[in-house]
Amino acid sequence: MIRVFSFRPEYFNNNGDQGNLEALAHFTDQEISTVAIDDAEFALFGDGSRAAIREFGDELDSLVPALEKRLQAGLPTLIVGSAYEFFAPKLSGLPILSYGDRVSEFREVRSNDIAVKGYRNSEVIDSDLFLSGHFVATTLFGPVLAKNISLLQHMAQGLGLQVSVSDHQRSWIEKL
Amino acid sequence: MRTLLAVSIGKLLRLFIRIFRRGGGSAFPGLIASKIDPQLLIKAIASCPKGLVVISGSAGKSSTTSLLVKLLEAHSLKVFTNPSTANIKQGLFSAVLKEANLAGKINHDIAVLEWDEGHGAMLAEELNINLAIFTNVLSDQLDRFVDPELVTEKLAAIASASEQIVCNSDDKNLTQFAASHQRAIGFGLSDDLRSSDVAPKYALNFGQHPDIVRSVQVIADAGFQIAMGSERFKTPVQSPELALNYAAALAAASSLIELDATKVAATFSNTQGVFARNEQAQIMGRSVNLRLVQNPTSFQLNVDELPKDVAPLMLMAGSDIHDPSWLWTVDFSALKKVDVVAGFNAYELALRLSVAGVEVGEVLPEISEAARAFSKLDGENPTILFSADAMRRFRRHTQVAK
Repeated sequence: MIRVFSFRPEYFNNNGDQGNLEALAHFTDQEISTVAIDDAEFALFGDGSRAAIREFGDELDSLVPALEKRLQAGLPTLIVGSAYEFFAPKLSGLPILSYGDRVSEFREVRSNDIAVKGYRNSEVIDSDLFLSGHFVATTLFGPVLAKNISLLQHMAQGLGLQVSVSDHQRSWIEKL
Repeated sequence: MRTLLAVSIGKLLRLFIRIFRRGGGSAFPGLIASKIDPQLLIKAIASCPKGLVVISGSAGKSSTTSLLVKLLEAHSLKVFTNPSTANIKQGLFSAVLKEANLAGKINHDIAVLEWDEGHGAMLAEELNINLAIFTNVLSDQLDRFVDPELVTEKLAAIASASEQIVCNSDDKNLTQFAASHQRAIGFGLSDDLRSSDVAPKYALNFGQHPDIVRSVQVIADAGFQIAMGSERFKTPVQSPELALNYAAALAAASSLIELDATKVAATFSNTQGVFARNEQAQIMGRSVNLRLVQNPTSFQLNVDELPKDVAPLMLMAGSDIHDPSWLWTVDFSALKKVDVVAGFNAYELALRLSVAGVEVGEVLPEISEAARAFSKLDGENPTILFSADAMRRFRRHTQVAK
């Protein structure tokens, strides 16, 4: 059983980010239980629309102290897209993001010897992947844990779990 | 002279492509024609005495367009329209090439065009729009549109350039801009349906919901009927999403012409699906159910509608799904097995299905191989769900003409 906190999953799932929970449960052969952030082994903040960020901005702000603790301890956490951009100026330790023209493309990025590929559609310049311990913030949308076995293994390691990927699945992932 | 050249070359290219790529259309002749004479589309539309009607929004455009065309034709109007999925500029030029004379004029009473929600705003700067229909705004194609609010802005630009608008009153993304339009009429679900679980979900919006009076409503009565004044029209569809397309078409038609209730009823009862919208087609010697899936909503709707004994089943995700991450927002848990997974994004779709606990048979990105493998599989309900690109390639390969 993995104790998980996911912020407003119904609204912060723009590009299938909640698929990361499915992938984590599937590849570690665990059930998921939903808990408050302070009790969570894994925390997920998916990409939300502009409307969602406006509506839930105060609620996101209220979670900054809890996230600060997770960042300092390097606890398994995944922050994606607009949530990353929201928290970047508020969490000391996250990179200071700079912005330019929007770049929409598939990209492979690397941090601490972990390569992650995914799709980005962002005005953020560089800073596509931040990794500190098992705390990850990224501009790369969607189920990055499903598509990147090394990142999945790294996150599972932070949860004290093993990853099992079938040969079929591994061959599909390699061809993505 | 430019027009003559554009139409001549475009028609020739169109002829060659149809000879050498049977079963497949192409936007290429339109692209070339638009380079030779950028004014060709404007001239062709201007030759329609009753002007231009456009249909845009995230979903339901093709069905609404098809229904409106049928309603107008039933009332003896000659309608110029574009095929579904040919709804961007080059596609519209290609449609003109099919019908135009060498002077670039089309001999039709009215133009009814489906417009891509991304390209429509640009087209609206060039063309005079008599009436625009807005179906909805969904959280769709975010790799292309970034945020639903940007789609809403584009639709609002089309509305600003239109003399009158017809909009889905249930979607506040639309009513927030439509309410300030001087000639706006609405369609939508009845109060009962709107507050029920079957009501469609639109793009997230926490703002106010300005009301646009619903002149046409979808009501639940022996399936779904369309109510306009004291009249009731039966529809053959089984979901409120699809019934809303009938309501949209009827609301628009009633703004354009004097309607004959008998003709409306006959048109609705005779409607068949738009190509590949839950259509039965003869392919490789057997009847196959074809379903076009273009976004999370339509994919989910089609998966949920599949009968329990569906087999063999092929899912095809083509290159039009630029970032296939959204496939992970679809709940596939109702499926037991997908026999063939195909198309440019086959591997991502296969991975998504397997993580959802669905048994995956063969994974064949090449359409020809997938079609061959599918044709050899036994089953009483052969069914294919495909994205637009996969549909075009599959249609071309199997020579299923539109």
